[in-house]
Amino acid sequence: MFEPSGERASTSQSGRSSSATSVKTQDTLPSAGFNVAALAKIGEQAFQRGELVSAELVALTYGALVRQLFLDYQAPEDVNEELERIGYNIGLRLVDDFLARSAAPPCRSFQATAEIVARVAFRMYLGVSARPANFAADNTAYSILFDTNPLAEFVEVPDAVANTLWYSNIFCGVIRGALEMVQFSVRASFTRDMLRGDECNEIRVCLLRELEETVPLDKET
Amino acid sequence: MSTTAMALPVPFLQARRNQSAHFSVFALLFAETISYFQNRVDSIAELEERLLDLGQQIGRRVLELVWLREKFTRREIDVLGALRFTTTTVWRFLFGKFADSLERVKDKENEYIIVDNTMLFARFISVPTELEGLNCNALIAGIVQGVLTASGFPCRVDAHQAPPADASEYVSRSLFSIRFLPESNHTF
Repeated sequence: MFEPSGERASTSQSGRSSSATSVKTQDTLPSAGFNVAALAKIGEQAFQRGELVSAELVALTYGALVRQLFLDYQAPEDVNEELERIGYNIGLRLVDDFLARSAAPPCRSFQATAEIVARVAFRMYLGVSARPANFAADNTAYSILFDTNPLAEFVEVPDAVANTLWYSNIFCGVIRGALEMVQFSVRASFTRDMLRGDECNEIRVCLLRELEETVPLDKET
Repeated sequence: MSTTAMALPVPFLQARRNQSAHFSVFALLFAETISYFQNRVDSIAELEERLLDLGQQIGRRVLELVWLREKFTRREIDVLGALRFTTTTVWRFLFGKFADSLERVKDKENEYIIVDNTMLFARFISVPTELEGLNCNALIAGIVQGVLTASGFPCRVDAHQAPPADASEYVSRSLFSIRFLPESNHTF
């Protein structure tokens, strides 16, 4: 009868959100009613509380994985896709960890996920600051900007694939996976990457649809 | 390209030494790496081999980085020195602590074992029954092999599990057995 913990977490999360959206309709600020400084603090505290590993070890492991993907797939487009898939699997699980440990306020709207992902999750997991920006007028898309990318440490992308490979594409998968577990089906993609010489990293997150909650099937009857 | 590469190294690397990331990120990345390989191999031995290869790629780079950070002026010239360097400086860089012990295999000239009582990197990996016996520390073994080989001591490293030394301990000990190839016995 018990669902996997992911299901439970997302159900309770969005259960709260659906009851709360009616109350909180006055929010039109880009910060979705959150106190930005408080969120940053929550992220920082969760980061400090957590068990830490060397970011360089993570960067080197990730680099070795990307290299391996290149050996296996050759085409950079396929590597992008595979990285996204790997990230998606990570995101599905990471969201549990996040809800359990972060003490972040619930995401009551799609807009709110921008704040939580950027200000709390990035801070908590990677120790870097990110910020949401470029909200679409109808609130179905936003960008996450960040200047420091721990995964891209030490990385030089060969010229031959510099314009096709999104080295850190795993982020997109993680965001897609994590948001799907809180009932937002999204498409995430890199639009700017400092490895390509842009001034910051930008991930564009577009809402495809909000998933309907369904009553879990009772397998015992 | 070359000018930026020239401008970066030393101060840049040293200034940023305190970067850290959450453990879950690494654990999940590690898990996904294993499952990526899992679909592409036929046997457990092959899977461990792939992890070992991947670890070697990491190990080579770890060594470069540790050298830049920790001890610019010295290179180890004998096997024992290289092993000590691995179990202390490199281990601290990777896991934030020293390895618990470094032992020499009895009656063997060039075989050593590194023991770590609390190697928790694979703790979130649940090995399915059809892969019984898979040791995910193969990746760490690969890193050790990469570090030692890049230091000029070609060797072969295998990961093993052993029951805890103390019955009250829950976590099993991780052993890394290192067999140096003949060419790593430099004599002067």
